[in-house]
Amino acid sequence: MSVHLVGGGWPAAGDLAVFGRFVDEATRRATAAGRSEPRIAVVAVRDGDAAAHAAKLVEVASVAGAVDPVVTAVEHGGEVPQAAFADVDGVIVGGGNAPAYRAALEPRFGELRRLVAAGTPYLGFSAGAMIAAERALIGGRAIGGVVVSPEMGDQGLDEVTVAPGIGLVDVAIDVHVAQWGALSRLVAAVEAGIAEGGLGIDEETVLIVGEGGLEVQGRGSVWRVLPAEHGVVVSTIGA
Amino acid sequence: MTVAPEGRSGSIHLVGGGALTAADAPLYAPFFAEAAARGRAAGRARPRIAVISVHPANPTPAGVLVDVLAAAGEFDPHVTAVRGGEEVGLAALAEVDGIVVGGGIVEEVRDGLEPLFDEIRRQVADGVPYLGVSAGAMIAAEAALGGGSRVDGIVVSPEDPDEPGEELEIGGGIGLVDVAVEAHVAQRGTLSRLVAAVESGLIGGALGIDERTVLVVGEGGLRVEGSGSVWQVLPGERGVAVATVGA
Repeated sequence: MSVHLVGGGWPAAGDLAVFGRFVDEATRRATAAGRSEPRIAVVAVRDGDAAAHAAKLVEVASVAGAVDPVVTAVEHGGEVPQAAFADVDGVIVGGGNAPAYRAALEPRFGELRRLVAAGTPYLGFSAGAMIAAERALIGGRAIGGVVVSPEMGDQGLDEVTVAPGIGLVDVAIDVHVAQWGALSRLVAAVEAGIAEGGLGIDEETVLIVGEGGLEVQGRGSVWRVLPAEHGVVVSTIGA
Repeated sequence: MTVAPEGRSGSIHLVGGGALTAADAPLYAPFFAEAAARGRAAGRARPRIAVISVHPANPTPAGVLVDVLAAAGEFDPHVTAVRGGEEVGLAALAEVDGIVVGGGIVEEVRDGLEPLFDEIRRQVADGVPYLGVSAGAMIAAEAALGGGSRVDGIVVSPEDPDEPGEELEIGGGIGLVDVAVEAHVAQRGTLSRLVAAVESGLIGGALGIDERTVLVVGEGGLRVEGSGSVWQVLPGERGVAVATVGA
């Protein structure tokens, strides 16, 4: 089972490339457990529209196949309860403010790691992808006061900030990369040693981290950033 | 990686944009000093500086450039301001000690200046310093980047959500530096299009300059001044090598 990291952006109508594999994996798991439809935890942490965001995630996932959603919609400052993940065949964590998602889910990080290790697929959408990292990039647009990326995507933070994440992948994850112009933040973070390496995911694109390594599906690219002798090395992985 | 100016060539000063207030005068000071020295050698107490603007909102931007330069020192501005779609005449470069080209829509600035490219190269080789702001910096390259945000149809840098972006195209620039030049990099999030352009082989390398930052290409190599960084983007063995150079 895999970790599916989506760079944000709602898929075009009928486009299965981004959520399809996740729903397939959850469905296989449900079948093995004797359920006809996968029971999927859908977590939204938002400022005022958590239920609507969760409903949109359910709608988009349902295009790929019938699902039985277990929705947890919490407002900023709230905490996701343990019951959110009881007996599920897959986990979807939505988008919004990455620091808010991190804070709301931090008490559940151990449980999420255990679920994924036991074969439950995880799909992180935008903020949900960022916090999947062990040391998660959660926002900011300056390093040492020097601006490194546009205001869009700074998540309300000035300095580029790394904080403990779920720990499903061992490099930093950034999202909306081409659309928000975030590659320079990832490059600067790796060059400065704030992150040991990074994977930046475009909108309408999923990076699937599974037993077979890395796979990319969707309309955009994944930007891989690794430290080099002088600066960093960047390469793109396309679908 | 850059054209090493030979002998008494003028330096190339590339400003990444956004540096248009009197407080930004220090970024223009090295250029101004070179132009002033050249003016003195020609018997002029104040340097005569060509200020060229190709802009949809002319003549305002030329006036802004003159004001910023005036904060660096006294000079005799030789202003040529045209609207996008128009060409700049050779008279813009007559008997000047320095050349300043402002920002605008890069394709328009490139097209408007194209008849002057040979003369600019000749004057710079002869010791006249060049300063380009934003689009004026971008067209200093031999391979000048257009404004497009897509490579092979795939979005590689931010777009206006209401207006689908265009394919990134490369035009012939003045040829003062041999790698592509980009402006507003951190502010507009355009590093990704430089990486994509180098990775796809569209360009052989690039220097991306942040706002309120100047890259000076002179006899001593590359120098960076200002509050941002310069992003050096070159083909590498395992991908595209990116390194920042700060002030």
